[in-house]
Amino acid sequence: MPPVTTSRRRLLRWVGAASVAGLAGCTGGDDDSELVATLGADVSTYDPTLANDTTSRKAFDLVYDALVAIDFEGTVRPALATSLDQRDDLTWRISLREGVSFHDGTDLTAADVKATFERYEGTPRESDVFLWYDGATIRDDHTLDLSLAEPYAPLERSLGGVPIVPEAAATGELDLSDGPVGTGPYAFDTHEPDRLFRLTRNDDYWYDGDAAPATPPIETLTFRIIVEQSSQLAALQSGDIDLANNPPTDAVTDLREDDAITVSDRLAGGFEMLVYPLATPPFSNRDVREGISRLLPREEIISSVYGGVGRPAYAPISPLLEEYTSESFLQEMADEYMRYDPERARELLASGFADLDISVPYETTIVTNETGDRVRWAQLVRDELNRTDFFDVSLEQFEWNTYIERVLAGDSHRSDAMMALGWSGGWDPDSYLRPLFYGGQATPSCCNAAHYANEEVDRLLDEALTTYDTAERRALYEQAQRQVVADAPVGFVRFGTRIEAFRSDVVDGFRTYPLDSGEFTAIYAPWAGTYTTVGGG
Amino acid sequence: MSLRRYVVRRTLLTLPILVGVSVLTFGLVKLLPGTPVDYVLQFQEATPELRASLRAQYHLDEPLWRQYLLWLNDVLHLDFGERVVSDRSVSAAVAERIPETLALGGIAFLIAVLVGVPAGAVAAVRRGTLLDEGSRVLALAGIATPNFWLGLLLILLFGVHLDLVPVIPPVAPLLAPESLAFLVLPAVTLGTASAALFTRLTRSAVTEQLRQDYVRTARAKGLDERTVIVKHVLRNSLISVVTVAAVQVAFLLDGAVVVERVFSWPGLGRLLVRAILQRDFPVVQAVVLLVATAVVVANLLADLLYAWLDPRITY
Repeated sequence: MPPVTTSRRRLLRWVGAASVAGLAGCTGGDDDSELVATLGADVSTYDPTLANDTTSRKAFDLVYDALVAIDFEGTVRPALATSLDQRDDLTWRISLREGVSFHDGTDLTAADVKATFERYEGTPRESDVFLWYDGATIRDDHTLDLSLAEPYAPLERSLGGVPIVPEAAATGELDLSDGPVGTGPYAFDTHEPDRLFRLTRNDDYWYDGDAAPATPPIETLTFRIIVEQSSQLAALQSGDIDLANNPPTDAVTDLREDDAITVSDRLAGGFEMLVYPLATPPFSNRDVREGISRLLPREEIISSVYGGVGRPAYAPISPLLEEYTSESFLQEMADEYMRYDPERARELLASGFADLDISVPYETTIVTNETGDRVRWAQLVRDELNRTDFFDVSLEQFEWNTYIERVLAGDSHRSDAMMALGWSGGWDPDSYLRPLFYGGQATPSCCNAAHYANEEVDRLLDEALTTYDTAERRALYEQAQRQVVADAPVGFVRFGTRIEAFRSDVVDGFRTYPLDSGEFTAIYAPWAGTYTTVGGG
Repeated sequence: MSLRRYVVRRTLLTLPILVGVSVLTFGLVKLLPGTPVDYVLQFQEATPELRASLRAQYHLDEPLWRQYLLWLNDVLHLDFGERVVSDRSVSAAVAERIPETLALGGIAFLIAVLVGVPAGAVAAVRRGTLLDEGSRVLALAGIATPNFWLGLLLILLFGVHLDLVPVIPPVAPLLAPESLAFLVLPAVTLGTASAALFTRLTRSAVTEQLRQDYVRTARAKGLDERTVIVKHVLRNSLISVVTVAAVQVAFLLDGAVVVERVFSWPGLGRLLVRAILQRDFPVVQAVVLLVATAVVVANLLADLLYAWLDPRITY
């Protein structure tokens, strides 16, 4: 609905011009300091084994600690584990920090860690642990040996995504649905559904280093639940809240012009792509797919849809993972297979359609969900394809669940529609490739909606997953990416960014964490030397 | 038929309606594409066994008629089960939203009546004047303005530009002065269209009554104009207003879905929207059933009130 978008944008301009300097919501001083941030949806669960929504995960992120923490650059830092010692390919000895207690007063021991792992079995988040977990042997209160079923290269970073809970949560004595209980820098205080989620400082936090204060400088974190993005922006500009995650991209330009607001952004671990239904002609033809990929107007999409923020994507692994990809590799992939080049695209499409003997223009659709940015880039792609003689493309938008059902259905590859899709990866390269391009991950098992299957790619991904040496892994992933890009089961569009906006006079020290559910990490991440303070300017 | 018999008969007639509502509520939710399992797993890797066990957990492996009977049995015991997206009870989640929505809807309804009825009466009495024309234009604007847009506009004007009220609900009990003060903007947003409707309706009802013989008689008797209008004309005009008021209850609950989102108000509307998006079927069913029942009851009350207000009507 373009008219609504325009009028909303205009309203926001007006707000920008009329911005009020007054502030509310937080007071200076150490003892009653409060940061008011927002969540775009209600917190649905406090239990890490159930939480599949990023909102819940980012809300309880500061309540739990994991064995290790992944800092802002992707480096693994010790947290509850003081060391992870690899004994052989399948065994790791974990030494736990001593003197750590949960918010319910019990001490952290090896039994808690083992119970944490095992309670994932049969839950929606089972694959967080059971992709690698085979068993754990408790050596003493603060030492355990972790056994893997097979060598698993991303193990350390995977451990960073497993929040440690008390053993009592596994035995049923403690019910995490009453409130999250962890060892983190903040303890759960209140949750008023659809209104607010509040955490208070854990004054017994275990940190004893020099890089940050021993406990968080901010006493209370209040997350107001504001679903409507325009209302969230109004709340930020009126000073009712101090910090907003992911403001809509069409408002970012206005926010940047507002002196009272600081906008922070950085490259994130995810990309947008156009997935081709590989079993359906003409998409079964490689030349046709490369032709379409060479018609994706990436630069135009970034400048006109995303306000110039983000980078063109020519391969799956995000440049965020500096150890596994590089700008020169991306440029090479662009030159060989992906770069926007209407002339070359027309040659490829002509040869592809000639081989298939399909009459043109070929009528087809692009399906997308209702995310505004995604719809707009899909429109640009549609227009670009319709400028050739080969296609007559229309756009179909679906509500999120209908869209998921279509895209992740077992026959997505046989449909007659290209799928506009976003993907969020993590700190490990496997998360950008396996779910989308491994034969065994074809929908509905997971997320390979194109039903792309290439034995060589499967082999490379399997080998890379069990190779601990970074240089060797990088070489394997380069080969796998090269093969995927050459086969063109999807057209890569854009590497995304994360954006945060906060009140300049209130929030100090905040940084953007590049991955989902780490939005509030910077409030207190002593292992990364990062912490946020609030105060009146 | 006596009034008592009418009341009993009319009340009993709502039962088949409620059964129909329950079938529709259950059936429509099942027509939604996607299941709770799709939502819970989303982009996770999942084995067929895990999928099957999750399906069984939500009774999705049972035949549809059996799912309905299982559900109806629970509902009759006021047990709506557990939520899909969390392990909280559905009844508790719904119950805690009722006061919030009642407060918002109640204030909005009050505003609608207190503004709409007098405005309509004045317009009718001063028919053809600038006042009448003005109220017509305002009423048309009120009906035509989408409440989503009106809400944002009020937030920007009073919350940001003038900075008179907070943009998000204060952290305070529902009946605390600051909560009630905050509710004014959302209630105005929600009540505007209804107020406009009441204005037009009251105006035409009063206009019609003013033409009646009894008004001429009353005036001839020497009653002052104020008594004629307030005691006779307005009272007789209210009959049609009451009927429409019942329909407005449904309208206000409907509008709450949008207004609660814009004003971040934690009522039933937001619970419902989110439950639909998450395929949290038990919550959707509970809220829809509750709202439908409220509308049925409101209509019942309107009919009874109608019979009481106008004893001439026979059934």
